[in-house]
Amino acid sequence: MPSIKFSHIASTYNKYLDSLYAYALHLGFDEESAMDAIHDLFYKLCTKHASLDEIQNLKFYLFRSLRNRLIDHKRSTREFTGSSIPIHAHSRLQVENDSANPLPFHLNVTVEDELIQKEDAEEIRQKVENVLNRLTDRQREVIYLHYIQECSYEEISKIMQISVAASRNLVSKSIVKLRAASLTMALFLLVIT
Amino acid sequence: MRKRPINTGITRFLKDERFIEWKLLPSAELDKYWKDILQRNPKKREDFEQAERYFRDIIQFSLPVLPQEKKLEAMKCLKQSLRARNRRRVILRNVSVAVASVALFIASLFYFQHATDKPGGEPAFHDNYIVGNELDSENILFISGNKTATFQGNVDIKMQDDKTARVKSERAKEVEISMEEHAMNKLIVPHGKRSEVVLADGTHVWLNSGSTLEFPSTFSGDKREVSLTGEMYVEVASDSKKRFVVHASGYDINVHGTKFNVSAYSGVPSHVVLVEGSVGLQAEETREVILSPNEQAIYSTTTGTFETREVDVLAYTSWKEGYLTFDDTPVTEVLKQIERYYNLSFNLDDTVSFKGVTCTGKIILSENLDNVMTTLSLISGTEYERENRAIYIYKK
Repeated sequence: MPSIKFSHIASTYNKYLDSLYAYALHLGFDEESAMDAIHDLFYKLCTKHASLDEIQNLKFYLFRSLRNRLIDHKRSTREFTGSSIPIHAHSRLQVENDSANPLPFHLNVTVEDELIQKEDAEEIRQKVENVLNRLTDRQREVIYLHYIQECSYEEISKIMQISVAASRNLVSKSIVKLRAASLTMALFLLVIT
Repeated sequence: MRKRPINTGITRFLKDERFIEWKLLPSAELDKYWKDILQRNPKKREDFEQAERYFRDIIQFSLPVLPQEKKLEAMKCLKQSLRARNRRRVILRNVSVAVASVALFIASLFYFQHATDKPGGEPAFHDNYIVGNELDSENILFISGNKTATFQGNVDIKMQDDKTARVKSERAKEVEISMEEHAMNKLIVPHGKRSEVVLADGTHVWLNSGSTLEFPSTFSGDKREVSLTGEMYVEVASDSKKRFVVHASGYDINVHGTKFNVSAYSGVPSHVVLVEGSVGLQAEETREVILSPNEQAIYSTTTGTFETREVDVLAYTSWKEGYLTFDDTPVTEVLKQIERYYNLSFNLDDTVSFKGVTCTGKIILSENLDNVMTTLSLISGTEYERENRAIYIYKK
């Protein structure tokens, strides 16, 4: 049976631990579940492969595996606690789309105010928060992966198991709807300034 | 292109929600929106481009961070799970070849189940390695009366007269600190740092890592008294009229002009090694024990008594010259000294498998931790690995 020695993955583990941990916490999991999932993920990685070179894109492999593992965990704990979920709710996608219990995604913005005035920084922070609040959980997740983790849209589509087009369009489609009300007003204001 | 200072033209974009949204989540729709705006307002293009460049500097997200100890714990845990698995594989192979006994088979299964269910939880599965991590560096504190001065580098303090202390810190200019007369002073040297103090009477003290010395600005009264936790080497200036007394935790050292080393760290046996002269050790309610040169007294907190023996003093005083000497010293003892000196933290509580691993030789306390660890592995027959801020030590 192939296996990777701990010493060969120690630096990889160290490198990705923080970002994987942050990802799990943003997805609404507690520290313990996050750390368990990360442990199992690396354990499996080491026991299923003979070398890290076998994995083409390690970063997205790790993010995708962690995400799947967490979703499975969420599903099993819900089944376990006996909450009423439909029998067919087996796919990961359904867990995410289950409106009664969606997979949340939170982001906390900070604005560096050494470069700009404090009041400006606060105003910008507020505006970013407005934008984030208007977005869906999945869109915030795309921001985490793209803006913070610098994943490409191709990688994001693989991590979140959606099409590349969808990873981009996640963006516009729902916003159009959500924004409809405020947009006319905003445009009006822009013309005046 | 260089960044310009942020002006209102730039902040206007940074405060625009559509701009923010476009930067965070670019979309064809917003691409077009901004393209159109710039076409209509070509003068704004420069501000716009500056705002784009500034965006990433200004807008950040606070991410949950895992504390270093948790990180190490998690790594250890994974390592153990993987080792337990490898061991299980060996066990299972033996069993299938020999079909030794049902009992062994069950035992090995139970063993495996335990190990995977609770990785790292059971001390019985503790592996043949020690893990340590580098801790954040702390400053040296010099507290005089109600004033506190902090220093990043090791310090040399000289009590000038009863009102001033001259302090020279590494990579910093010498400073004079004025003190109140008869004030009590406290020098706190954290792990990873060392300091020297020349007291008002000319007594020279070398303070080792993780130590605190309390001393007055001037010695009034009929005794010269200082208090110590941690370790110091001291060369006491002779003064037949005023005896020098060191208060260590649990006992006092009465000095009659001498050179000696005191190690009084909490949690490990406290001891005194005499190099020259004569000292008397006085614990509560016991007769004073007089120490001769080349003798060591080890204090027992449980009985409140001293045990004396002859030692090679160099092994206990060489730290002030920048090296450590060991003679058949348990590796865990050595690591305790290294951990204080370099501000590391090793899990030395559960290292049963390192019993019997000893070191003999000399370790130069170089600024390069790798040199130190390489020497240690050579003289103790171990191996080490460093991963970022973590250090693993294995038996060979």
